Amino acid sequence: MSRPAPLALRLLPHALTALRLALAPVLFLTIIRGRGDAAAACLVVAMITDAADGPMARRSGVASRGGAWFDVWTDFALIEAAFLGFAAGGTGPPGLPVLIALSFALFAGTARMTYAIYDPVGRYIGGILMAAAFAVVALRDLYFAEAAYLATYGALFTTMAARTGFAARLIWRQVRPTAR
Amino acid sequence: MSKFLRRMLIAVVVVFVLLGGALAWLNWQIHRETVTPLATLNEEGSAGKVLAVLSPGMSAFPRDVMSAFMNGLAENGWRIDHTTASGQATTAFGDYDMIVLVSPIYGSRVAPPLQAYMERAGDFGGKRIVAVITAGGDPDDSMDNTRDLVAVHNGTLEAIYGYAVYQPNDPEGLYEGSNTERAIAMAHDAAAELAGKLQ
Repeated sequence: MSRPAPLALRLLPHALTALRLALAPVLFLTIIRGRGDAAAACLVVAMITDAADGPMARRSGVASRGGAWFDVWTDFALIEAAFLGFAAGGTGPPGLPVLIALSFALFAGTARMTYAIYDPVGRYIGGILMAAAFAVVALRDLYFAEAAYLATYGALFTTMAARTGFAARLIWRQVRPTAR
Repeated sequence: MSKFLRRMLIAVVVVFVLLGGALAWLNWQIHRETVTPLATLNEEGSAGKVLAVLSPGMSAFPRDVMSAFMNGLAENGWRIDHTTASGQATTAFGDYDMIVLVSPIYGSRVAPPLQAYMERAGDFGGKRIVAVITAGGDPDDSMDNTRDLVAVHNGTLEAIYGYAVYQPNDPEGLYEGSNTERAIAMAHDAAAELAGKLQ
């Protein structure tokens, strides 16, 4: 019988996720105050903690469904804060925060149905959007910013199309059980 | 060819087509000219006559900065004719005391529609030019290119103002609001100060 990991080690993955959540308002403020360097630093910390918390939780045996949802909603809060900051600053598309909220709501809704969805970007959507936000504040060129917004639109539409298609098929099968 | 390889090849082709299409669309958006009829602000203004030409870019920020700059001039008695950089924008500068050029910066250069407008204008005939640029980062990096562009077209650069999105515009904290709101207020005050200097 293996010994459980020390308490500090078991709490560390949740602490990393909580740190990322605490960074969300900081990120929003740094963006609207024009502190691109500080915003980029926040996003680097967020990307590192995002990559580390999951594997750390699995290794220390504390991975749980609740923890996974905490991770997903923390990513959502952070990404929403970044794109709200871009929109509030008058330079980012105002529609993107709305689309991000819709996309995460759709993710939350369909993830409860089943994991067996063909969604080519869904698993990486948090990372893709964080990388796009990082490109905006780190490169600080309006051309790259527009390219990053475009990539964000592309990733969101892809995941939303995949999940909407799945949900529609599932509903169709329930309405018409013989349909294949 | 195995089914897996065929699928991979299709996926790669789809990704390349999508990326190419997205970049082509972005380039088209950045080069696209916006046609706006010439409008006048403060028709009764007698301190001087300005032609303001905007390359709007893809966000509201350059337009907001230009509006604030024009208001700063108008409040000080200047009459402003304003339009956007396009093939239909006037290049008859004879009546104007000053030309204000407003543009976002893409890759250290003013937006392509403003560059094309200046090419069409050819020679500003030594007219007084004010450049107002909006950049992602430090606008100083793009100012030399803008100065050169004005000089090539025989303009006399009266002033150049640069405002950033992701770098603080007001490190001294003289203004309030977000970084872009501060830039807008600063553009207004810069125009008022310039108008006072030129009177």
